[in-house]
Amino acid sequence: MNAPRPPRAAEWVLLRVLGTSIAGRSIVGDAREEYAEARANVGRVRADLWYLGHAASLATTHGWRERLAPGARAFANEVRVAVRTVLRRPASAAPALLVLALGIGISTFTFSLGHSVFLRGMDLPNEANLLAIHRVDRTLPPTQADRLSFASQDVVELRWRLTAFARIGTYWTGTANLSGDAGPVRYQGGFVSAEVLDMLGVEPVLGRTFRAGEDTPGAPRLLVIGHHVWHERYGGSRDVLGRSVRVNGETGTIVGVMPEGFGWPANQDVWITMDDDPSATERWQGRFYGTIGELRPGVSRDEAAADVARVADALAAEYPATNAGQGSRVATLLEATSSPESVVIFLALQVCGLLVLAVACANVANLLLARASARLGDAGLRAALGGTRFRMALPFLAEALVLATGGAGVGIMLTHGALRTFDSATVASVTQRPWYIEFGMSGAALGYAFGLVVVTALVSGLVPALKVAGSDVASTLRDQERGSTSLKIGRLARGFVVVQVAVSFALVVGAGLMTRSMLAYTSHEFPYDGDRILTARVGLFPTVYPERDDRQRFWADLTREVALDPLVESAALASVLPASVAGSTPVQVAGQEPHPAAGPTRMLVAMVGSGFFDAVGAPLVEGRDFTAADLADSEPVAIVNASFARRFWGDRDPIGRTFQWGRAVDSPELTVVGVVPDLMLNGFVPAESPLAASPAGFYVPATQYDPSFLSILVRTPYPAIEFAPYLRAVVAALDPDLPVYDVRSLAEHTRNRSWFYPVFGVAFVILGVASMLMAATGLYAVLSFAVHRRRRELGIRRALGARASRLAGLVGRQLSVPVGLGLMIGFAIAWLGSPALGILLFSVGPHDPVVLTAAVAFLVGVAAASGFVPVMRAVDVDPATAIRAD
Amino acid sequence: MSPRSDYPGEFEQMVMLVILRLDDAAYALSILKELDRQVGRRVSRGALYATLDRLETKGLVEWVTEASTPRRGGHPRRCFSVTPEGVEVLQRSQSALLRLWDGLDGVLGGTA
Repeated sequence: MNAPRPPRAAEWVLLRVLGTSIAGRSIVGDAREEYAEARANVGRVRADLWYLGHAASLATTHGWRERLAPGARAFANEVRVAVRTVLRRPASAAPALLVLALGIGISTFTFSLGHSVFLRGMDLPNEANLLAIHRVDRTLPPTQADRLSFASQDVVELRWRLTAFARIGTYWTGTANLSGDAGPVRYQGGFVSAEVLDMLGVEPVLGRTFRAGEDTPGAPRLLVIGHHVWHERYGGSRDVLGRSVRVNGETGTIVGVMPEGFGWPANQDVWITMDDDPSATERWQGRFYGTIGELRPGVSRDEAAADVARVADALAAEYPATNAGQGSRVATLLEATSSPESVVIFLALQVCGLLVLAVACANVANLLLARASARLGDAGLRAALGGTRFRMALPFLAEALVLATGGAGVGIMLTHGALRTFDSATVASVTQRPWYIEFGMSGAALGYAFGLVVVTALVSGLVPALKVAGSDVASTLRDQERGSTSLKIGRLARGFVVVQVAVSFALVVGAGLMTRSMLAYTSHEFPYDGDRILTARVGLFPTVYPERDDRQRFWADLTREVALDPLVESAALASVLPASVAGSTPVQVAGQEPHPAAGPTRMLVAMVGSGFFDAVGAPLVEGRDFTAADLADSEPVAIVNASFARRFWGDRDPIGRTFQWGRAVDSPELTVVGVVPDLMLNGFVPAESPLAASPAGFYVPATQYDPSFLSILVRTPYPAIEFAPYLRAVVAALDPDLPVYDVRSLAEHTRNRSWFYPVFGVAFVILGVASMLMAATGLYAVLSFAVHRRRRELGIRRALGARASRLAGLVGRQLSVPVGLGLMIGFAIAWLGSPALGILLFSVGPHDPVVLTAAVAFLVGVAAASGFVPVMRAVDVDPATAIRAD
Repeated sequence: MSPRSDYPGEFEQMVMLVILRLDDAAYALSILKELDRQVGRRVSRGALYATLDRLETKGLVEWVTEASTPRRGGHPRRCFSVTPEGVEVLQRSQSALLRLWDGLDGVLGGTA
């Protein structure tokens, strides 16, 4: 790979400080070189951290100190004073530090997540020059129309017609069963054209990538293996080059090893030269390819997009039978792998992070405002000695900066821990998270935290600073002596309370929705006991199982052999497991043809063996199960689910009715022989989720078709995973070269398909709890300060005979207006914002009345509780003491 | 140069000696590594750059730039060498020290 780049912001600062002389630039170059070494030795995160520390140290040792202007030097002095103040009285700074640590920490955390997913990129040397080229099928609904692959025949046309690209590379992904040289293991294979790996610019760590011509039909199969495959399967031996290995039943030769962490395009383990011949099949009958293009120098993305659109339109005109309605789109490689849903999730998290920070800023501004009034005497002295307004404002900014920096230090430590936890909670084996994403503290995140420190210091320090600098100190001091309004900060402080309550309310609603969603998720009842069903997948390749009969025999043998164990209650095959999203296919029901403009009606479909419904604990509602007699030459049959039956036949009995599978006139007509309940053919998503597709679908018997890949489900009376060795042994006995993969219980499979509910649920709950804490401390601080300021007035009222309840009401009224206003604004924010969380919510609506009511009650409770102590203190105050106090 | 500054400081001497040892491969990073390897002295980069600047101002070391490599992000690399004045200063320092060491083997327990 090319030399890795250190954190840009830090390098930029270093260049600024050291100057552009040869000496300065050579130091920056040294730092780069060392960074590259560190990256290779200790990984990205630690290398980034090292670089930041190094840059900071060089920047300070190379003369910023001398270059400081007098104003800045004065500020530096104030900072020193502020540091001493904080150190001398840590207890009084603790609330502000805690609040800022949470605010900056959470904000940096959410930024880090977004940065890892969307901003950092794939770290491919040639990434900037590459575009993914997608087909867009305008005849499909918008959610399914984009990011489609091109038929191999179209790719041939693209290659010679496109002018914007220097090279076009193609690939498809699928199972790569390696065997022969070691035990059979199934890997994620990338079947690539010869130029693809070279286009990415990633150098192999051993051997080479593919060369032109090595992907022609009939050429020997070559393999480049991933770094972890090299270590796990070959012990990291250099002899691996030239080694012969069976790939999906064919012989291939290993020619290279890719660097650690590389997994383009979709977490691939091995890359294999493709050897398809597009001319061997009819148009659109063979494979479909992912396509990327390398821009010619000087060609912009827009020009490339126009070029691709031109060719797509030409193809649509020339081959209307296949290409009518087909358009195109280009995207960066990163855009091509980021789903729109994840953009929404991370944006929502980002907004929440910033809201928490806003609460923190309001909180600290309030605290400093309170302190500003106490420090007016100091300011007055400065004014009397001829200090400028600027000098009077400096201490507040300095204090805010010190608090923000301290808070950031703690916050960054919290973030570091949180990111590590998040990283392990979202491991690729569970979430299929893309290969280039790694969650951890990065230079960019530290830079962001640094930016937050500056912003936070300005936001929370500027208001009190301006307030003091803009006040007429002499008259304010006189006011204060009389024990009255001092800085006239009441309105401002109340303003901060409004902000705090509003933002906290919105966040508490978010956390509440997530909590309810998680409760619903964890208590969801499945028709089956997932821990007692073992699942595993097997794929048969025509190189080893050339005939349909061979494959059908294997599937029959597998089911029979597995069921021989007396502890197996039930064993069945399925092309798609419950909770995975099944493929959809056009269907036609006689007399219910859709409007031609609407396109064909699509239904979900799965192939299953007999006994499948029994294995998943969902017996037929009506009719019969598939049997061994449902063979290729017998009447084609189907079992429909309840939604399918309702969709086409309403309350009428569906048994014996027929429908056509496919668009063509001669496509098979299936007879419905049974009805089953809906079994999550559309994935494990609650019906009300924006992600939920219609669950309507049907099942066909695997014995009537010719599936190459199937999952086997084994129901046992014991924890299913204990059965894994037995299942592996059965497969090995049938075919010692055949890998069994995705071996897990159905419960684990279901959890893996829905990992984002608990992971993001917890993230949002933490955000909500943090903001609740902040709201409580903030409100308490503001109220006790408000009461404290009116102590003398309250004392006098008490002396004049006011009852305690009346005084409590007086203070309470002062509190109720900003809290009420904050609640209203917060309600509006929550109402408008929570639908963005919709895709993460499980069986809870974004405007759930229970959550909204509970949030109102909670915040009113917090406000009352935070007001209670200061009010009681005010009421209890001895009039004589209060009057004398100041 | 005043008589006092005829003798460079200990660290300055080490840096110059390392540059001489590294011959035409004396870059900042290799100097750092060599210092660590030969005398077990780990110094901050800032301290090394400051020393190299100082030695250059004194006319004891000089440098030429070398073409950049992609690994350095296009930034040049300085290759340091000790000037004839630098060599002379080192020699002077060595003979002064040797004179001072002479006859002290009994006290210091010998160096062999």
